[in-house]
Amino acid sequence: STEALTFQPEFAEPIVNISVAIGRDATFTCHVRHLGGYRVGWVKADTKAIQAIHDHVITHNPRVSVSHLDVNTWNLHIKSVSEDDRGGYMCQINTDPMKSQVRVMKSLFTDNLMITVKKRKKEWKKVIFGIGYLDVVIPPDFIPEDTSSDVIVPEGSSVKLTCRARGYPEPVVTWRREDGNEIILKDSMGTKTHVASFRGEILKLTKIARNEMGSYLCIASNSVPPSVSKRISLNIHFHPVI
Amino acid sequence: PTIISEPYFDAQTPRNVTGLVGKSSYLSCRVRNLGNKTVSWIRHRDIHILTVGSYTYTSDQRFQATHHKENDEWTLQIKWAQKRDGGVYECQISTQPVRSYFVNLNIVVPTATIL
Repeated sequence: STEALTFQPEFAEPIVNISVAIGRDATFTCHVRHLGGYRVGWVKADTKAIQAIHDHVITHNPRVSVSHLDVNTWNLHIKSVSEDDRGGYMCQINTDPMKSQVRVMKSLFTDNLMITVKKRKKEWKKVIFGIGYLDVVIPPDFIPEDTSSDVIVPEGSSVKLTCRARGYPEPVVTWRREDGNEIILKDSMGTKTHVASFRGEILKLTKIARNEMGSYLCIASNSVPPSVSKRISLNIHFHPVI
Repeated sequence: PTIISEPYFDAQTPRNVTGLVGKSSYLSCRVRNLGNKTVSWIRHRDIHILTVGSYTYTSDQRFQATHHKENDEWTLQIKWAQKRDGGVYECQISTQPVRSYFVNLNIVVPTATIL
C-alpha cells in the first residue's frame, strides 16, 4: 500500500529506565509506530546477548519472556531479576539502515548528551530511543562477621563498635542511642562532641564514662526498603562507689 | 546415563577474514554440541542482529546465514562487500550466559602488482 511506502517504522517513545529490587520482576516496553512487516528485536547491550525477536524468545534464560499489547507496544519481561540482569536493554527494528544508534548509546545516560540531543529535536527520534537501563537494587543486609556483638568494657577504656552492611547502592550506616540520649564523641585532645546520631561503619568511643552505658543502634539504609538495624549493648563496669 | 554437554566453538575457526570489495565475504563459525540452542550473527558496529539460525533478521538483503550440517558450520555470507562492512562480527550461541566468538572482517580493494 502507499501507506507502507510513506511511513517507515519509528520509535514513538523512549524506553523507560527501571530500578527493581533483586528478586522482583521487570518489564521494558518498546513503543513503535508504523512497524508494518518489520520486527522488534531485544538485545542486552553489554553482553550483546540476543533476548528475543518478535514473539520468539532466543535466549535460554528461562526468566525472559516477551509479549505485545498491540502492534505498537512490545514488552520484554525479566522475572525475578538478579545482579547479572543489570544493564542496558536495546530494542531494535530491522529497518535498513537499522533504527538505533550505538555510537550515542554508550553515553546515553550522561546529562550532557541529553541536553545536546534535546536541543537538536531532529536527532531526538534517531538517537535517544531504543535503549532502557535496568538497575537492580538490593536492600541492605548486615555482614555478621563484620558486625559487633554486645560488649562489656571497664570504665575509662575505649571501644570500637562496628556495623558493616552490603547492598546496592552501598548502604550508609547511622548510629543512635536507643534511649534517645546523645552519643559522646571525643577527639585525641579530649574535646567532647555530643551528637544525636553518627554516620559511619565504625563508632569509636574513647575514655568511656558510665553514662555512656546502654543500647546503641546501628541502622543501615540505602533507599531500598527495608532498612535494617541492630542493637548492640554497651555494658560498662566500674569500681563500686560508696 | 545422559551426559548433557554444553555447546562450544571449534577453536580452529578463523578469527581474521579478508574479503574483497564487490565480492562475497564468508565468515564461518563452527559449533559443536549445539543441542537446542541457536547460532546468531551480530554486527558489533551497531549491535545489529543479522541472522538467527537460518532466519535473516536484517533487512540488508546482502546478508545470509547458511548451515552446513556436515561440519557443524554456520556461515555468514555478505554479498557485494563494501569497505564499511569491515569490522567485528560476533557468532553467538544462545546459552545462558551467551557464548561468543569474534571474527574480524577486513575488506580490501583488489590490486594487481606488475613484477
